[in-house]
Amino acid sequence: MKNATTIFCALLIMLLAACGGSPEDAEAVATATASTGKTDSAHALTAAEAAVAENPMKNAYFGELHLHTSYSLDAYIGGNRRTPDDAYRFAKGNEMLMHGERHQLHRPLDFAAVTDHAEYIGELYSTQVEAAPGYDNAMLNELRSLESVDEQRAWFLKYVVENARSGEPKHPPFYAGRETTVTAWAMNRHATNSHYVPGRFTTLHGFEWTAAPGGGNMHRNVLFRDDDLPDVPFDSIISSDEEELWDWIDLQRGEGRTLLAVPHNSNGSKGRMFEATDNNGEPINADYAKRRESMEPLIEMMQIKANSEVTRHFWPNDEFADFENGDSMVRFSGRDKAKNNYVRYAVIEGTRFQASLGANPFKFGFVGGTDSHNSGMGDVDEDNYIGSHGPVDGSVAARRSEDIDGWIAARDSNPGALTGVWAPKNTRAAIWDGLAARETFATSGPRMKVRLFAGVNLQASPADATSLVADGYANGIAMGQTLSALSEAPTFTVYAEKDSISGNLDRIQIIKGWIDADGAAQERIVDVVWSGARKQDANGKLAAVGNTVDLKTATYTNDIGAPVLMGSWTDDNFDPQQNAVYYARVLEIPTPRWTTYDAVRNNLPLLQDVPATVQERAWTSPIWYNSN
Amino acid sequence: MNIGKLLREPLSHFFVLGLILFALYGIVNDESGRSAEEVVVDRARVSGLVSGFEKTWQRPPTADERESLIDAWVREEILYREGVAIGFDLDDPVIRRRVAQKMSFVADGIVPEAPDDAELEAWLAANISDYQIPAIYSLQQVYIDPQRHSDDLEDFVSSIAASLAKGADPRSLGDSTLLLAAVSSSSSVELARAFGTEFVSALAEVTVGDWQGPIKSGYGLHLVKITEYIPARSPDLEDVRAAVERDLLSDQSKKIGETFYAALRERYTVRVESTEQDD
Repeated sequence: MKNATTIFCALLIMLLAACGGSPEDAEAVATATASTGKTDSAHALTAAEAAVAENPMKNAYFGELHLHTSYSLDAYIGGNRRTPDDAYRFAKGNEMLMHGERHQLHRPLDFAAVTDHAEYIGELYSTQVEAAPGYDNAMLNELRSLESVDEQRAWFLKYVVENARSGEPKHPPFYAGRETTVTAWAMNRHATNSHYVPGRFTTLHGFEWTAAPGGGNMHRNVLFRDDDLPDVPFDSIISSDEEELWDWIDLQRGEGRTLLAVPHNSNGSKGRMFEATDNNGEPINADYAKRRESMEPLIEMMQIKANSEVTRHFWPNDEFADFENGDSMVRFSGRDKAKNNYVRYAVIEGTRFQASLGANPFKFGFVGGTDSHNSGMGDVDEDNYIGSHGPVDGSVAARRSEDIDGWIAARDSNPGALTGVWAPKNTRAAIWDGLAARETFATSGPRMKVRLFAGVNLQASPADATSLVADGYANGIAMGQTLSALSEAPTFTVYAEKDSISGNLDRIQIIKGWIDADGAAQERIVDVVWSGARKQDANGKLAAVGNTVDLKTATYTNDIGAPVLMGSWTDDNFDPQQNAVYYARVLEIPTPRWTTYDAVRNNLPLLQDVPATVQERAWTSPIWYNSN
Repeated sequence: MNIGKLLREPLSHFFVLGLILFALYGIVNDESGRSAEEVVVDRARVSGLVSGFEKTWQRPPTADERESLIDAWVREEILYREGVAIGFDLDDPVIRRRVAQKMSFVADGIVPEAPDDAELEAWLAANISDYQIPAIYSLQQVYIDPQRHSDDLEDFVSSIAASLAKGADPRSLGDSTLLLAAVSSSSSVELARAFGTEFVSALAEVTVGDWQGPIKSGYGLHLVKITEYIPARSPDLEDVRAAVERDLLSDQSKKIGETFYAALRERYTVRVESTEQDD
């Protein structure tokens, strides 16, 4: 019963819908298949990777690690006919038809991973490729001809949800066998490989494990370092227990593969993502904590379905907490708002486990993604947003009034987030290693570059950015790493550079969290460096940066804010006996929210229940302090 | 039962149509000289059924299963023939769509032939802008953050320019940033990644040689000295053969469908009867 509910909810959540599909997809598949035979590569590829120059001080690369194509059932049902191949082309800067519009990124990404729902890729191979086993199944004939949103929902209920309700999670009746899953996964692998250009564009193999026990979102994206893959991915039909996903990852690692898992949407997990107990209800132990630390070094901080850092409801003293909170999510799937769904809660609780268990189950670096179901890889710009989930947000009118089924009101969603990785070069190994080392940051879309270092011997008040970085690597640690057993307070150095085509920067903050002597979670937000001549008041509060947005034209100017900020902070309340977690948050000046661009471009009134402007931001992975 | 109403029922039309077809079918059948209906399950059919089973279940069917596969096929075939005979395939949107889909798969099934060099050259020439080899620059730059010099920006810039002219070390000048102080042999694409597109466009007005500027970027102002410049150029086929081949094939398979439809479309005239609603 629990399992039935599980898959039912998972599926309901996945019922998203899209539109504007075109038949070019079948041909793209055919093209992909046709060119599978090429065998020139392995050596040439290794040589090409080795030939890419390295920057020991590392570069920031921007990419997307959470994207759905026509091989995700919910995306296909919603009309998406754009394949992984199309998604990678889009990521590289090519045009793609979305809702019949020519759509294009303002600039290409540096890396990307297609992460289709693992559960039904075989079924979608049967659906989309004419020669595939199961292609002629009557239910799939029907699936191929669904046109209206209502038809799509009805089909999904009838063949997938009803079936899933009827007992143990299983494949729908039109599943033509494991062979189809093997083939679909091989086709995705081929597309992913064919777009990899060492030094210019990195593609990573990945998939999404889509478990939602009791309607609580426990989804993970699994990402591989190289081209050594199992013949099928692990899906929530096999198990919706994350510990069994970890068993599987262990098995893969035992066979020499290199992979990690990234949870997302803790904001929709109904308190399950960061539980203090395992799935048997036992308090988590050191083994569990160590295991999760090894399996899940990262968490997706933000995506289309809102920001999981904090919300204003539980962080009333964080003046920037009111950012893409996704309030309407509580209308769906029986969710309620709870503090233990948020990432800041988790990373602070993690320090408690570090003290009691000697390992930290919530030792997460930060990444961002879109979760677009339109194959719109990295399609995050507020001024270029035309929806992400098929017909339900595929037009201006729909975006203003419809819901993304199971999740959120479309107007309350956002274009999604990006992942920044500091790496010596843009190759699979370098990008994946940067992810595994948590030398990452999440941004709410703009490509600002952020660095954070810590150490007791770092040069305070740096004036020179190059030496800040050199000093950071030589005498300290970078974001994502851990300081331990210090006798004096660490100094944190920060540097942030604006996105060349986005707003200036308002400030850099450091957020410190710890568990006090009474066992209570504590946090402190420090403004480290800010633009202009603002002074902190007697309470240490800094005045707002201002707002240049003209709501009539949806424009802003960079007359306020700073292009570059750098500074340092030494923890003046440092207690060597107390574990702590620190991360930096960089804020941009206010710029128009996507809903404002939609309204202005279409001569519509601004929506009253969403903000007209936002302060885009970036979050660095934390630096931890362990007292022993 | 109201006869008039019955005559207007689409279902009645369907039956009448069916009867006519049935009669026609009878006539045709008589003329061909064949007597009884015959369903032939030939070897190819059986092995098709068996291999479909194997693909799905990863094992050969048992004798019983094999028999029921054949029975099911025969049953389907007879019902299908009878259904077609009375016209059940007409006016059914699902069947209509499916048949149309099959026609379009005829086109999709045509795999474009590997293009020869002449075709590749022609494609490259027609789409040369997609394959441009970007310009290469080696340059040094000194960054100025205008926000920090709102009172004396011009003076600040000219004092730096003067120092540079006297041979001062550029790394000691300007405002600190991680924007690279020097890049060597970088493509305009890489430069755009590091400095933004505005900077790269502005480089067009800087000549190779001495310190010039300031030019503008999304970050602020830059004094720039270009030491090497190789203009963007159009590639030879050999430089980009793999990409051209991939794109040409992809384009051809997309076009086959369109060409196929266009050929069919030419054989038809289409008349849309105007409705009462005028535009």
